[in-house]
Amino acid sequence: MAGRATGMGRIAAAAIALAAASTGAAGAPTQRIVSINMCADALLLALAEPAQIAALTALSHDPRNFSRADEAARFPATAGRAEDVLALAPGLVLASAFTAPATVSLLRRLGAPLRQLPVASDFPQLRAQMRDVAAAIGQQDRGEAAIAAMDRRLDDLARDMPLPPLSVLALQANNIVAGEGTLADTVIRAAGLTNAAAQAGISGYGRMSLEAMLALAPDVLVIDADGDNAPARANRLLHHPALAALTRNGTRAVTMPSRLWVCAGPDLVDAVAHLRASLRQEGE
Amino acid sequence: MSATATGRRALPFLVLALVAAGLAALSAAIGDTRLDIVAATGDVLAGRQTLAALILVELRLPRALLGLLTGFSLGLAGAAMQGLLRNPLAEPGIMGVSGAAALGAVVVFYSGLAGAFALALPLGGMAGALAASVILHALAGRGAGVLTLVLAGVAVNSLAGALTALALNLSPNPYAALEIVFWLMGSLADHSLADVALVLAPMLAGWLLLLASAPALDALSLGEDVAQSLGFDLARVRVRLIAGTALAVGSAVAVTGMVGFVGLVAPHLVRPLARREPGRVLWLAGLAGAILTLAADIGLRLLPTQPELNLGVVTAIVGAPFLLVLIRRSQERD
Repeated sequence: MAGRATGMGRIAAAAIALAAASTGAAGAPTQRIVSINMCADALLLALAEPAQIAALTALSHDPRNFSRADEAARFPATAGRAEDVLALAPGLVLASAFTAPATVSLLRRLGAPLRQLPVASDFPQLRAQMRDVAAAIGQQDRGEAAIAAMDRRLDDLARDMPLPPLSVLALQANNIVAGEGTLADTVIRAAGLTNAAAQAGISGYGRMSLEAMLALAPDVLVIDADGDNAPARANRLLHHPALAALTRNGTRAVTMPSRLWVCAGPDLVDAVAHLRASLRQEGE
Repeated sequence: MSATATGRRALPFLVLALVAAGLAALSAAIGDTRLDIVAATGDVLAGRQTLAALILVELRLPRALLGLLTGFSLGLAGAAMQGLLRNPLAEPGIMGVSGAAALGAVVVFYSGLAGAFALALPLGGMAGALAASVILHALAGRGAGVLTLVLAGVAVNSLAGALTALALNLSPNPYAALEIVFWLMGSLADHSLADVALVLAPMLAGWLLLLASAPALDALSLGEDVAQSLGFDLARVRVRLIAGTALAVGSAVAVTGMVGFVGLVAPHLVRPLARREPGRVLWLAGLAGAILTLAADIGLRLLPTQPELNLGVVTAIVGAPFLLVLIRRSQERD
């Protein structure tokens, strides 16, 4: 036990020393940044210079999970365990508020400079988070530019394609629908549509029975699924004859690849654009 | 046998059948949305595609039917296992048959086989249930005590659980664990008539095999030697019961997930009505199983919890204390 504690202490000391070395000069961009959360990966790719990034998560190397898998694949990946991370002597570790508490507390105890990103669920929170991360990695200018670019795209979308205020139900696997305060809710509203689940009083992600969905009869059903996804029991729901009947009765069904709106990041605008584009196509 | 005696023997059966049918109708009448059940039935009969008709036919009817079918299968299989093994604690759930059926279904599902042909899923469930039954009978052997048998069940259950976890670990779908945890809790919600059609044939075949064993089970209650001297080929009886259990329980679990303890409780409830003849218990336990399942499924929809509780959770909360009482009783007897 004592031997192990000393060993841990040595690693911690090394980590602290390296962290101190890499953040030595005030205002200089942080080096050796390690992300152990897929959504933080997206923020880093948008905000950091490639040379600053030491490693991303293995998840973002998979194009099914992550829109910028090509870019992410240029960087080493870790499985996000404390040991992998410490071995990289990180100057900054980005984790999410939901990263396993054991990993977070171990990294903290061993002195790795760690920042847990709260979950942003709307555009104001997202802008604040982008600013926050940009400041933490010493890239304020890039941060402001990314925010401005995102806002420009949002404005363009809003001007470009006016849609009638259709009611939209965003449906995920296992009858989970996106209610008020979710990222999907933000995307739906940014597309100029209304979220049927939020209007039905669901806040956050809630489960809704098929029966309730039929009674709600939304104008649009956004199915959160990838066509080429691995088999999922949950997708069986989407083949239920009752849902088919709903679409026969005038509800439009469109799909949204999960990777587009799983993370709050500058690419969230892609989800808004995708939703609007697929509704326009469907409508024509 | 006089007419009144026959009537008296048929009475419990009729009463239970009526209660089960009534509960099935009640199950179709309640749900998340308020539905004028009479008007909805009218729409269905008139062929009008209204929302009410849609909900009634596509959602509530399959739910009620699956409640009946699954409950009957579990109750019947429980009674058959208790009769064959002459053990009051035998039940598909406790003995690991349901767990193995779930494993079979999970493997079929996440390997992508389920997409190849519709019957793959129930077949996976049946294969799992069959494997567990065979292992169980091999382990338990003849005349094994209560303890040996329950330990064999624990072993099969933990093996099936571990392998299910392994399949989830290896699944390429990151949401697999979440959805399978929900599914393992058992639910009749949001199934379709196609699901009912899929399991109907194997279930009925399983029921026939089990029900046809009634005379053999009656004879077995007098001991294996007596049964053999009465002309029953015990090896064949065993095979028939194992196959029947695999068909009925395997297909039920493949669709509804794990609904525990129904097979344990149902036979015990009806045993006084059957004058403790194991053969007569079969039909009655099937009906009692259907009643318990439908009642639990109705109860969980009347509870104000949001989301609704899973059926397996409710049956376990009711059933587990029942198991403890049974264990206690068998301790006192020993």
